[in-house]
Amino acid sequence: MIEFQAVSKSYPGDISALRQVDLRVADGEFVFLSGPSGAGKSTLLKLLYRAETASAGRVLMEGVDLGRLPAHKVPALRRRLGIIFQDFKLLYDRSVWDNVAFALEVQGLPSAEVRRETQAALEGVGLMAKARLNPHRLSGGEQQRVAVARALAHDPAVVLADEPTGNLDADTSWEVFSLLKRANEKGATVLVASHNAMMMQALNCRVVRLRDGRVDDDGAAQPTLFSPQGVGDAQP
Amino acid sequence: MPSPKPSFALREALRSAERNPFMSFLSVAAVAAALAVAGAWMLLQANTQLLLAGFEQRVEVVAYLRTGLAPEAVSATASALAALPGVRSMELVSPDEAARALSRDPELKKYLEVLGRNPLPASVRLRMETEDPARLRILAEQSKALPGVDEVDYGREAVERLLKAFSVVRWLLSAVAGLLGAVALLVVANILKLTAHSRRAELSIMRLVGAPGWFVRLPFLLEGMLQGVLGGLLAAGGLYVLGQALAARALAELQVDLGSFMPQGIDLGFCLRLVGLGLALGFVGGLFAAGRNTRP
Repeated sequence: MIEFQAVSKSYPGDISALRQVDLRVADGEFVFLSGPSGAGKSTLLKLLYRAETASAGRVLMEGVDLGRLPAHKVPALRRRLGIIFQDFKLLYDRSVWDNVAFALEVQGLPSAEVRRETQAALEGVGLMAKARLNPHRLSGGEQQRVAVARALAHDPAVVLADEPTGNLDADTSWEVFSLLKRANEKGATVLVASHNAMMMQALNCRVVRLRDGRVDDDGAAQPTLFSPQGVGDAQP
Repeated sequence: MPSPKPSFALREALRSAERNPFMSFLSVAAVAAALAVAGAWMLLQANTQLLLAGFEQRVEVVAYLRTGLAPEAVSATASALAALPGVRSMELVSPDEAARALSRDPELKKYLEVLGRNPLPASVRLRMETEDPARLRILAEQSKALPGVDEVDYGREAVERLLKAFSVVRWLLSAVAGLLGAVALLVVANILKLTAHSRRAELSIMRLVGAPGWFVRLPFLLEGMLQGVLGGLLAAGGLYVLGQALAARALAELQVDLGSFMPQGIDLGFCLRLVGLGLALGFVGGLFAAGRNTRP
């Protein structure tokens, strides 16, 4: 269970990113965070992986107040999460395989298990044939699939994705969301910050709309015409 | 919650050390320069201590007795001198013994023959427990105050000048070594900091996948220590080569064996001390560098 209790976040210069946000996400939910740029979607995710702490209110994950989590416990928190970014954030001095294996090595898994899980994760995103390549040699969509494989390889309890398809075409976006949906079906709680209205409609999930740092609406996706082939084309 | 295995952390640290060879070279060179001066200081310190110890053992106060003293008065004065505080041993030199010693020089022997008599007084050589010039002066004054004593000689100026020269050189080298040590520390820390800055994206990714702080910091510490050890070896090697060249030149041009003046040479223990110093320098530099860029 993830819970935001009257959470506000402001930055120096009187910039309010979040204002009195109350939000509950049950285990195993798939939730879209939507809203215009600057609405507070990324800040909300940052509070969950403790890149930021709330200025007021409490952010709870399985009952743990993340704002009070000591710094030395943050790595352990992040090892239970899978985080995906719009700009992939891959290590470009090592291969696709090593990128995925790195996240598993950090978990402290035995070598045999690292090999097995890395292979399974890369097969899961259809990139086993390119495992030895440097990410520079992959397309944007393929790089994002590597990032997804890295995020999901250790079966995280919570997956956080910040605009994961912002740079991708419609078909590739669909592939990435399919992977996230599959992780959700296996039990992971998934929070995705996205503008992609077509995808929200297609996946028929809960959508939390943010505007000016507040929760503007919390419910189902707005009905739109949906075609999986054209999902990336529709931006609200 | 499990965390990464040390073997994996070590592999990652070595991978990191392979990058930026030029920066690493600069860092090693800075450490080597600082340690070479520190090493020279250590050598000078050790050798002057040993030389001074030998020199101080030879420091003696010579009290020349009045001429014409009766043998009983000579013995009494010698006993009084030996009883002075700080005297370790005493040797009485009779006028005949002094003349024999002087006659070893043919020129001086001639003078004695021309005189036809022995003008030399009896003297008492006092070996001191102390090496402090101030104490020597007091002892000399106490000796001179005794009724049978005519003159006292203890090579005051030579001793004091030598001790002063050693202390000035020591002070100068300490200052230069300290200054260069601080510069080397800053250079190592800043080069590693630049490395950390150029790798900040990678470091942020490591933190995002949950790498613990020690794991992110370890490469910087190991890299710093590696650079320190290499700098130490380079400094020891440089000093050895320089020392050999100087010794060869001194022998060829001045017919002086420098080895006899240097009881403490550049041996394994000395090299290990320099390498250890480099290791510590690199570790501290790595700690500085690992600071801000490796926090969660």
